Amino acid sequence: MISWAHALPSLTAAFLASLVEFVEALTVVLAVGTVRGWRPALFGTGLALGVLALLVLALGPALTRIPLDDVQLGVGILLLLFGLRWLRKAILRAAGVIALHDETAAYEGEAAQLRSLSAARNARWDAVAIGASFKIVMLEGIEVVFIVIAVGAAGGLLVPAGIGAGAALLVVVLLGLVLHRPLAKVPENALKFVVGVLLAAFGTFWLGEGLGADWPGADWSLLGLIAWFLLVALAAVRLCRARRSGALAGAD
Amino acid sequence: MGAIKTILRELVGLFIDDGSLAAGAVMWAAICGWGLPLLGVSARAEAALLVLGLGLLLLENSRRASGRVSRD
Repeated sequence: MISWAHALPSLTAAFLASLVEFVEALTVVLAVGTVRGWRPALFGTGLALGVLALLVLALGPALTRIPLDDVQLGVGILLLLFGLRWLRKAILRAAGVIALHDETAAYEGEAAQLRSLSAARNARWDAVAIGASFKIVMLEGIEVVFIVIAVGAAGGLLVPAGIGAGAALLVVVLLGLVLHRPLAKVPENALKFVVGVLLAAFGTFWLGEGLGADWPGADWSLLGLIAWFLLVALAAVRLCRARRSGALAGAD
Repeated sequence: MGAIKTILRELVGLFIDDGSLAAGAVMWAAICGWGLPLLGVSARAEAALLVLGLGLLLLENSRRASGRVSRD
């Protein structure tokens, strides 16, 4: 029996991380649907979801055959690299070093590109539109599959992680159906910041387990790891802001 | 071929944005996991050093990146 206290961090991490990925996918699918038509946009989306489902069905049972220590080590290092990459980018964005991700601009850019591609388009088969929606759902979907496996598999929490990702998909699809425009008001960088902290903490925890490290308080040390990476990330934002201000003042 | 290359590039890009951060994290994990036990460091201290090192690595990498991007 999985307790809520045990499952909640995995569920939250999977929900927030998947939310960011689905928002990005929705932007492109909306652009494809609006510019080239909804039939190819939804066909490409469905095709990608089918391939992703096959991937999960193939990988899921295979993972259970690998010894737990090896899964923890492998998943831990990949999750750590994934989390550090997100967190580093979110830090640099929060400090104003690199530009914030803008869903409206991404939508307009994608729509303009799709309009300029006048490749053979007929009512039945618009390869450009199908390809564009397939590619984005596949790319963002692979990230979601990895996140669910990574935050769930090593601790036997695949179900809560899957529920988190499924809830995020539901939220984004419903908002997309209601609003019919990119979800530009979602605080994407703040979400990425939080998700980066969570994934880096999870990755470090599983990596440590795989390496044989002894965590004080066992699973509860995950909360300490989250607090540590949050502290480091906030300090990094301050440091980067100060460095950037100094560099800009020196350039004047 | 082009599509496979794109997918592979995207897959690698999922985990590695800045090569030095990724390489540093992997090396530090290897030192903590296999190097420190050889020196007789306890498993509890190994956990603490792993966490401390990864945090400092992220801090230093972000600091360096902010200087690099600002000068561009």
